[in-house]
Amino acid sequence: MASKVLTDFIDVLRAADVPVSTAETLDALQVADSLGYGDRARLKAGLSLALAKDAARKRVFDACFEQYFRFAPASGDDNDPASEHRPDVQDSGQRGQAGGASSAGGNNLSELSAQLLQGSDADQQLALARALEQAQARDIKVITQKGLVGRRVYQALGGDGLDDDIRRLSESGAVADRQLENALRARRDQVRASIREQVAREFLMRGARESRALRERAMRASSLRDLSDFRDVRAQIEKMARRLVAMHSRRQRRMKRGILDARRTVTASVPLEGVPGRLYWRDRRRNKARLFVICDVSSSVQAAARFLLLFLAAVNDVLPRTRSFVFAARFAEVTDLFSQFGPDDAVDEILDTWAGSGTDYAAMFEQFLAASGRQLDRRSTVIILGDGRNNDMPAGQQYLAAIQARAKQVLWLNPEGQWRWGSGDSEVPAYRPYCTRMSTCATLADLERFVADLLRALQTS
Amino acid sequence: MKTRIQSVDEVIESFASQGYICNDQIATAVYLAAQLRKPVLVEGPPGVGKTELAKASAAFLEAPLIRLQCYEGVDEAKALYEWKYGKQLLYTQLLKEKLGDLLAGADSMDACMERLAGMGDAFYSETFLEPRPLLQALRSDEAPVLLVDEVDKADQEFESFLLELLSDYQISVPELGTVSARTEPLVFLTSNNTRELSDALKRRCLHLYIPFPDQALENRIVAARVPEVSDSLRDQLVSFVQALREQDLRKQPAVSETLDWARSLLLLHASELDQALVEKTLNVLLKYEDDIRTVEEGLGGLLRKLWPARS
Repeated sequence: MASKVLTDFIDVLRAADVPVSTAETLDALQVADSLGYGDRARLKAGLSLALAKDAARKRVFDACFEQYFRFAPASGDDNDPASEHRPDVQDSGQRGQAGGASSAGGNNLSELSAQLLQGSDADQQLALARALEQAQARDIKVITQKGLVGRRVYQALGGDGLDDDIRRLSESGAVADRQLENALRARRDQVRASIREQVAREFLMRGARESRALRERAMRASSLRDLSDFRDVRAQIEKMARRLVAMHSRRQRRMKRGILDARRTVTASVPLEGVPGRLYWRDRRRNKARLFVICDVSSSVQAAARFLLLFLAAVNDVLPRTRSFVFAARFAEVTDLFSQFGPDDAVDEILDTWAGSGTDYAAMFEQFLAASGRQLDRRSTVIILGDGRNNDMPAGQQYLAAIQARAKQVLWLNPEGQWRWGSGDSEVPAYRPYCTRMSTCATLADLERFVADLLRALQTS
Repeated sequence: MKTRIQSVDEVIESFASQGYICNDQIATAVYLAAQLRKPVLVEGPPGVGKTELAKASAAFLEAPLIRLQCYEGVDEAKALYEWKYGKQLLYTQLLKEKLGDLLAGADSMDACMERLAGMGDAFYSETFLEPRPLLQALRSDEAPVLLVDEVDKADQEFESFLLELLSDYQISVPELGTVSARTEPLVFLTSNNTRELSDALKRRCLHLYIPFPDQALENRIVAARVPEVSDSLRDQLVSFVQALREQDLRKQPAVSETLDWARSLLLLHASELDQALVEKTLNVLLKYEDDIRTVEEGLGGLLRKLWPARS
């Protein structure tokens, strides 16, 4: 029984994004065994040691523990309370009706009514816990199920009998019966409120995970243009970015090799009679790579630009020096804005100031070359985000060719699907030969893949 | 080592008698680590008594404490074992003649090699082995407390190297084979969180996070460590430090600094905190010029907020 409670609790933790391995589950069981369930605070401390392994997770753990172990976990025996409980409820329900037909007395009440009037709080909580189990409230997945599940719990608790009692009493004329009716009504409201609360809690603990996972999947796959409909895009981007940063900061560390550490190498060579059998290195090689990001912020591709800039700002820790440019009708460098404001405000500011229409890619390339062509070298990566729709003006691919000739690679992100490249005023076919790679970037998933590839490429260079 | 710990309370009491005042959480960690034979990873800001915890545990369990201080570049040679190269060289020099005698009768190269082989691994034997902390802990007759201090300062490779030790209390060494612990040590790892430790390491450990103590606990710590300080002064200095921790500082004052401050105030025969006194002794609590300046600027306000009755 105890282990069921614990594994259930671990499910709740996992739902709250605290990763718990099988080995840790076993640890938790051992912890509970050696501490016992007697002292709540100590159990909490012990489980926290075994299950939550950094400061942030400890906070989540504390919240989950408080939620989960709010009333005593001893919610009945394991021998399926449902099977023995349900006939009881029906029984008493019928008894209630039968009693109503024969005499309008307050003595033939359903089990739930009797319990509400006489039973202790603990009994009621126990009954509620059983009903939750029986109605499978734990399987609640989406928020719209709350009403249905609440209704099921109410029925499992014997709510029909209670409703009958109240109806029967209201038909009776006796004063005592009316008083009883009022008392039961008040109690019924309480019961309903606590069911609502419990079901909401179950949803928060379990269902929320499912729907969050569902929403995350939807978020990653939906078009960047629609993303502003989601409330927590920002959190999602940060989550993706964190994963990438963790992955790549590790890779960077492994690759550090630099100047020979003469002292250590010589010391290590003593036992080998001065033959430097093992070399030691002192310094890491500085990553000299440079990144130039050029974003089209005209209205058609603005959304993509926003998320690309946010994403790059979020992985800034593992990126080399980055210069950002935006253009629509005008071309401007926005690197300083990012250091001045936070990434969020900077992006808002950028879109407010420079967004517009009438993109001219040729002019943009020319200005970019003039502004920073000198800085382009074999370690530079140029990222261009845009749809390549040049309003029927000359494409100016010779400038892009010049950029490509100086830089290490030119990566083009196109928010349009591949079937639209080259349609209408799109100059993509003219630009494409001068790009190291041109890829579609329509969803967060695309963006994540692009940034991951970029980081990998930068670090192996 | 003491083999059985009766209860968490026993840990708390014993620690208290050593002057290490701890809350339930810390005591539970020590109790469980000893019961389940699991290593404990202790994290928290600097100066909250992570290293002290290992020392207090060693005293409580009546076990020897073996300490390995980690730093960038710590490797197997520093942590596990090393050959005593100097001694090996010296011995070969001294034994040159003896070796000559031994090899005198052999006429061919093969014969020489055979004779040398017959002598066994004389130079790679126990005599020339320098055990470092980890090997010492594994080969100790009495189960020790092993403290791997500031494991976050070590490289990623070293962290992976520790995994075998932490899960099975054994280590594989090319020349010696697999060394298993004679008696399982109680392992504490401490980290200041200068970098994120790998999940693999965390999975194998119980994870204890020690935050700065709250006011009541810090009060008790000061009372235990610097008992000479009067009750009223102790209350004052602890609430002042607690208020400092809420400010935006580069380095917040740790418990060890509170204790230092209490001792300094004692030496100055202070009976009550006032602005001049705090200004004079602030450098005991704060270690950065910027921090001192920030606090000095708002000092009057801070003191008035803490003790409005006085002004």
